Amino acid sequence: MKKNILYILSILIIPAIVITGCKKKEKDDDHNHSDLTGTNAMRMEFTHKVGAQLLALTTGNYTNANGDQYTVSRFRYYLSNFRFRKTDGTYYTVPSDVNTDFGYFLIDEDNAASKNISIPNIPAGDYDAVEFLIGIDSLRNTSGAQTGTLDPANGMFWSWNSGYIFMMFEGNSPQSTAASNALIFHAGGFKEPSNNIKKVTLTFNGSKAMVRNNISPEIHFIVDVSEIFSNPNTINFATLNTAHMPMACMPIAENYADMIRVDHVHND
Amino acid sequence: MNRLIKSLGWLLIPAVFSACSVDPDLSPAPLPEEKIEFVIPQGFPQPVYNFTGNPLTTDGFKLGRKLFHDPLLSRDNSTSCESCHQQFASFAHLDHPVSHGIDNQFGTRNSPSLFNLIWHPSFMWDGGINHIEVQPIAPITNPIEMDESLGNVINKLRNHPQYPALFKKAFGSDSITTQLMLRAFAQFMGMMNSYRSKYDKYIRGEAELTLQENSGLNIFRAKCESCHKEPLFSDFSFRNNGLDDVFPSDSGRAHITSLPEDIGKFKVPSLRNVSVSRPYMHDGRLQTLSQCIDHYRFHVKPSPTLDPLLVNGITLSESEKQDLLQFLNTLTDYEFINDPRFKPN
Repeated sequence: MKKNILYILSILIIPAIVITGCKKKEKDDDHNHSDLTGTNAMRMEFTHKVGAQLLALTTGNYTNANGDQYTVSRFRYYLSNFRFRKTDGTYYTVPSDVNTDFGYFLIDEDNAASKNISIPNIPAGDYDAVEFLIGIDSLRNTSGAQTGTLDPANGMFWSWNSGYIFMMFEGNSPQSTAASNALIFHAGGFKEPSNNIKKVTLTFNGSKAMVRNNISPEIHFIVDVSEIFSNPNTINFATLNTAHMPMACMPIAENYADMIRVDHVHND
Repeated sequence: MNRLIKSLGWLLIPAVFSACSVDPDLSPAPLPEEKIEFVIPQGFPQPVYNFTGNPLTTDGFKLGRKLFHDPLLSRDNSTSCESCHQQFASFAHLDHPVSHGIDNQFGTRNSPSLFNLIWHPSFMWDGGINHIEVQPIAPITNPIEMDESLGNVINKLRNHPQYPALFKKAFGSDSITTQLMLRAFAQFMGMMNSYRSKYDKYIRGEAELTLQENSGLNIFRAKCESCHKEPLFSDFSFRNNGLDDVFPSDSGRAHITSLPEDIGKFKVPSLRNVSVSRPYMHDGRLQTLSQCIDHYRFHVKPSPTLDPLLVNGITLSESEKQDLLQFLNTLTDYEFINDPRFKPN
């Protein structure tokens, strides 16, 4: 009985697959012709979590890998220098122009709009991975007064030691020995030996972001704040609770290098 | 001869009067020195900052000048850049060992004289600031200097009766941003250049040095030049010049790099205009140039990061010291410290 059903089904389905498959291929070829000349935006959404929980500023209570409890009052970071990998292995590099902030993003938990970003003019094609920096490249750290997301008035710039703060985490922990039990991690630094720019490469877990004239894919990222305090360095808030110089931030930066992961991709 | 001068003087006095009796209702014709253009002084190297991306204009310069002199940039509208950078002191703070900022607070370092900034690869005694355009952010936001946020400064400028029009004139847009404010600053500060001292005129063949000054120049070249390199009179490196043997309160360059080999190192200051910009050293501890020279002769303290060139101090006889002091006076650029273009408008 089962066999019969399978047999019938296969008779029905195989030609259907082949036919629609062929049709699809024709359709794709048609599309490719126009698609490859088109562009669309790549949209990216960032969801901030602490382990499995959603990040809640000031109200959320969390525990780090060392067993220290903490709350979060501020969480911001810069992303820049995006490159998208096509399935053929070539890359599309998002251009930059030193006169604008195009391609430089300041993501801020306290600013919902900042967690949805969009990069226009991505050539049509199938993409399977993304590369970017957590931080700001050395050129923009040494190019003088900038604007938009790179405006020093955004509070992510060190006035006394020129350069951007790449990741700003502020909060409290009863284990912190700093004044008011504060946790203050302002991580930046673009020069060796304390270069805290972290290059991140993430595949889309086998999915594709299919940029078409009429498709602007959206990549959903999860940013896990708990990663700032673990892997490879387990942070003990009794001994490391404030860091706002490039070298002092290195353990934190080594940790935040893997705080971002791709959750899923939409093509709609 | 004296009589001739006297009679010429009498002839000139009416000219002075007529110059003063301009009808105040008529806007005065721009003075010729208001025309702002940058030319690399003869014998100077290419500057680090050459106004690429921030084209120098007279209106941009004048806007920068107004900002430089405006206490509006401080939290309580009390303190301007000029408060600690006075033109007559070559834009240092005369007789203030350390900067004297808002609420009568004192900083930890001697506010440096300002000139030839576009040749500097970095700023501040510790070199922490890497670009002339971002330099003003530090004193504006420092709690013991001007203690104001950039956001507030921009809001004050936007709501000011004059600034929006001045930004429009300078940059073609009355939308005031941090970037444009900082670019205006850079245009003004980038034009604060000193290259008309007696020394410069001597180098250009336009003036003679006295025998003593000339001897001082030779001594300078033999004993001081390796750090205070002509024509800018600094090599802009960071060195420990032996003022101390421990550095508990100010580690200098190490504050920026966190490297033990940089502890106690500070940026070599230019010696131009040094006679008019006392006191001396990063913390203003020395009051006279004589004391500075004697520091190198007698008081250099050893420490692990002491500059190798100073391990044995600098040997100078008393008469060599006097000649050197005479030479240092030739580095005063009176045209610079009196230049009307740098005065508040």
